[in-house]
Order: sequence, then structure tokens, then C-alpha cells
Amino acid sequence: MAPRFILPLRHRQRVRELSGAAWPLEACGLLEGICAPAPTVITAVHPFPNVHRDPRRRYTIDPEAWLRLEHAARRRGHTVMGVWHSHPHGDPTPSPTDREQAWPGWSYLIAGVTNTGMRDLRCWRIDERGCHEQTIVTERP
Amino acid sequence: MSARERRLKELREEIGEVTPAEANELVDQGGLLIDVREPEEIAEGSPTSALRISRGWLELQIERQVPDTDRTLLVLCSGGTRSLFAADGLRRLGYSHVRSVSGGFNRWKDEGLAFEIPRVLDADARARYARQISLPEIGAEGQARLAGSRVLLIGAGGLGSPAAMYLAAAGVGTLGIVDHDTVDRSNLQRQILHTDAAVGTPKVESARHTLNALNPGVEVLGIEEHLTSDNIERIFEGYDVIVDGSDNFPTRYLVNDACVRLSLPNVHGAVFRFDGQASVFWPGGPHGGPCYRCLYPEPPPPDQAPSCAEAGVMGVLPGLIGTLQALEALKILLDKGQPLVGRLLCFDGLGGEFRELRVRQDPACAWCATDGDVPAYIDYERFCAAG
Amino acid sequence: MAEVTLRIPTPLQPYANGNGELRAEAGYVDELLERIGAEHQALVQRIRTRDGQLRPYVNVFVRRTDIRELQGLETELHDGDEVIVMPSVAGG
Repeated sequence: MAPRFILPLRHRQRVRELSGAAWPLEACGLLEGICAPAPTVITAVHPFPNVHRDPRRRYTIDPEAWLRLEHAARRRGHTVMGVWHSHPHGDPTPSPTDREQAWPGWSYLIAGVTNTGMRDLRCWRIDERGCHEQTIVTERP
Repeated sequence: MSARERRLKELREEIGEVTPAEANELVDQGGLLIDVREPEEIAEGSPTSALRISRGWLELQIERQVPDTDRTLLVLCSGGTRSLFAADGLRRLGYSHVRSVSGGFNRWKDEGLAFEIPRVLDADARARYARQISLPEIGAEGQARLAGSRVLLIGAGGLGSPAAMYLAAAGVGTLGIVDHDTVDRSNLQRQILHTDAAVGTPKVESARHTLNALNPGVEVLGIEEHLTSDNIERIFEGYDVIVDGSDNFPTRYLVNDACVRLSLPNVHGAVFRFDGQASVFWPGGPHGGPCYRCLYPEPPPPDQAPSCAEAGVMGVLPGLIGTLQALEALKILLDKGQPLVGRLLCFDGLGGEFRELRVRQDPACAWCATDGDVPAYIDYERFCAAG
Repeated sequence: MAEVTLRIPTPLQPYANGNGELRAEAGYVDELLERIGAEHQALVQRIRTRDGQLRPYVNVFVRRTDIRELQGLETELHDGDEVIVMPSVAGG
């Protein structure tokens, strides 16, 4: 089973707000956290502009912005642990594109969003064998 | 010639073989095709109309499935050998018209006759659900049906918790959970999906955690939304049964109205202090019967409807009623038994008594008694605030 | 006159001095509510309106059947009948 995914409540709320505000476009960004063998612990949710030319159906994170975050996170003793993005059609399971482009070892946090806001949030590890759900544990402040 | 070959030759002569095409024709004339292959083989495909009992269970189960010993039985395996022995077994049990299908399923497929890929259970599922697969009312077929079923729970609270636990344990494939609340410590006395560690976190997340720990095979879909007239039909889409465990009147009337519009079964449960009630409202279903509005055309004025938060509730009560709701949902999914349609089952916890009250469809019901003309949704908050 | 039992579910028990059931003699449902109302006015007010109509969020069952399917408040009572008051509840 994939390791648990520890997400403090304020970061969960941040994903909710950013995903809701971006609807009907996909919101996206990176997840900074502590590089421990297990579980995945998230220390920051970073929003990034969705630079894909079809932002209703796809997302792309600007590689330069990502590189800058990698360096900054390392200075803090942290690592980029994965990606978060939203699905404006409401279903938070990985799409075929998500599966094709996934990096093994990263966590993919996906928010299912509709016109009334985020309705579900799920997290996945994706490798050549398929999608493995990581149980999200929201930590209270 | 080996003993096996000699015996097969005898059986071929005694029992008689038919080709797949002939078997198919005999089925049209009232015969019954019996596929005696193992579940792993059946997973690859099986004739559309076949009864599927693996060889090892054949003699034990056939009488219950086929009481008529004069019916023409056409036994099929993969190549036509095992079916000869199986046919012999049936003959010994007293079935008088038994034939073996020569060439078996391989030839059936080659001849282009109809077959399907049935929903079957893997070895894990057969072990997990063994105690209910052995119930004749469920069997492997019913279990596969549950795996393909979708139940939507309104609320992951006192009623939704036990209902979801038992539905997940029973192997309902998809459970949707509508709840926009977070876990509060005061919930834990009755909402057994949630744990002390989950206080402050979203209920749908906590529910998924618990349900997947119990049964990882169940897909739990969280819907962290407030149900409204605008989103309810979108949210209900694709579900087979709605289990109403909501804690307020506006939602109950909205859920009722949507279920009537969409002809969905509404498995009702409600609790108050030491009392509880359960019923099934499904006027569009095979049993007809009333909707929630037939029973209670209007909600009580707010000052006369104290909530559980104000009046309290004994934690076991939603446990009892929620599990009854799970049972009703399973009966509906399996199409077995008598659903609580037209009956309100009331439990008096202090008195320790169940009472069944009869409820009929109100011919003047403003909602379900209209002739095809389904009314539009109303403003439920206002409807329930009047009084 | 028939001797009957009026069963009161917990939401309404505070209006009946905490009683879960009350016994009375009455020939009709109407009469039963009248007699009970003499002592437990607040309870009966929650069952029917001032002009005597049954409230739409309260049902009364006699012999397990909704009195709306019988003769309403005119439904006749027999010795030993159980009259059940069932208000709508929404707790979950």
C-alpha cells in the first residue's frame, strides 16, 4: 500500500480555495514536504500559473518556476514531493494524461471541483503498474 | 484404450452429444444450458443464457436451481469431456433429458454463438464474501451484482456511518457520500465511521479512510457539497439506491422530491432521542407505494422540530436504524425479499418494541400522485421555515 | 365507549408529563383527543390545530393504519386499541 499522505488542514483549505477560484479552469501547483521514507508529510502548497494552452482540460507548470522552487525548498531542508491540480469536471481520479505524464515516487493530489467548489480530494502514486491511492490524513492545526 | 477413454466412449453413447448450434436451438425450445467450468474459465466468457455451476458443486446445487427433472439440460465445459462426466452425474440424480455439448465453449465461440463476459469474483472476493455467497438468495451472481452496484449515502453521520460500514463490508462496489461537515468530538458517540484522531477533518475523508481500511475493494466517492435543487440531479446520477441519513427537514424533502423525479428508491431512516424509524419510499419502483410527502405532506414548524443537537439521541439508535437501512438497500440491489415499501418500521428504544405502521400512497399527494407531470423543485429552506 | 391506549413517541413526551402512554375511554379518535386534551392541552395542540384539523406533520395510527385511510378523526375505537401518534422526525 502507498504511504499515507499527511496534509495539514490549512493546506487542504488552500487547495480548496485555489481550485474553487480557478474553476472552470484547472488550478495547479507543487507540493513541498519532508523527504521521509513514509508517510509523505506536506509542509507547503505552492500555486503556479497553469500555462497550458487548453487550461480547461490540461495543466502545465512552468519548468523554470519549478526549478526555482526546487532550490528554495532544498535551502529549507525540504523537497518537492509532488503535484496538486484540479479537475473541473468533479472527478478526482487520475486521467489518462495524468497517468502518462506521472513520475513514479511523486504524489499526485487531485481536487474534484464543480461550480459549487471542491467536492472531493484524493491523492495518488502513479507508476507503470497503475494508480495507488494514498490515504490523505488531514492534520488539525 | 485407457480406462478414461473407454468410459468416455460409453458415456458418449449412453448420454448423447449435441453440437453447440443444436444446443442453442434446444435452449430456444425450453432447454437449459449449464456451464460447469470453473470460475476462472467463466471469467473469459460464457454462453449468454447459461446457468453457471462449477463441476464440484453441480450435484449439490442443481436441485435448488432446477427442480424439474424432466427439463432438457445441456451440459457444457471447455472441450466436451468434463461435461460428459457432469451429465452422467445429473442423470444419476434423476434428470431424464441430459445431453453434453460436444466441443464445449471453445466450439461454441468458434461457431459465433452468443456469449458474454460475466461479472465474476476473484479468489480474494470469494474468500471475503464466502458467508454471504453461500446464501442461496445471493450466491456468486448476487455478489457480483453488488460489486457492480452504486449506493449514495446522504450524510456520513449517525445513520450514514453504520449503513456505509455494512454496505462496504457486504461488497457494494461504489459508495458515494454526500457530506460537507468536518468531524466534531460530539459526533463520536454515534458516528462510528469517525475516530478521535479524525476530529477537525472532513467527514468524507475520514469515511473513506475507515471504509477502505475495512474493504479496500470499495470505491468511496466523497461529495463535499451542500445538496441543493440545482446540484441534486447531477449528484444522484448513476446511483442505484439513495440512503437518506440527513439530519434536517429541507434535505429530507429535497431528497424525496429528487428520488420521485428520478424514480430512485429512497431508503429512509430517522432517529430522535430513543426512537427511530425506517422505511423505503419508492413510488416509481416495482412495488409502487408512497413517498415521504404522502406520509408527511409538510414539515413541522421549526420551533416544534427540535434537532438531535438540542434534544439528544442515544448513540445506539442510529446504529440500529442505519443497519436496517443498509439491509433494505442490499435487498433492493439484489432484488430479494420484501422491501419496507408502504410500511414504516418504528422502534421504541426505551420500551424495547418494534411496531410496523402501514403507509399508503396519498392519491392527493402533491408530489408523487401527479400523472407523469413532475413538479419543479421548491425553495426547501423556506418551505421548512414556514409554519 | 372503548378503553384504549394512546402511545406517545419521545418527541412529544415532554408535553405529556414525560409519559410514553396514556389510557383513556373514548368511542372515537376525536373524543380521545378531547379527553386527553383536558389534562394535557399542550400535547393535543401539537397533534391538531385549534379548529380541530390534524396537523400535516403528525400522523395518528389506529390498529397500525393511518386514520387518514380510515374515517379520520371520526375513526371508531374498540376495546384494547392502540392509538399511535407519529410526528415527523429528521434526525440522522
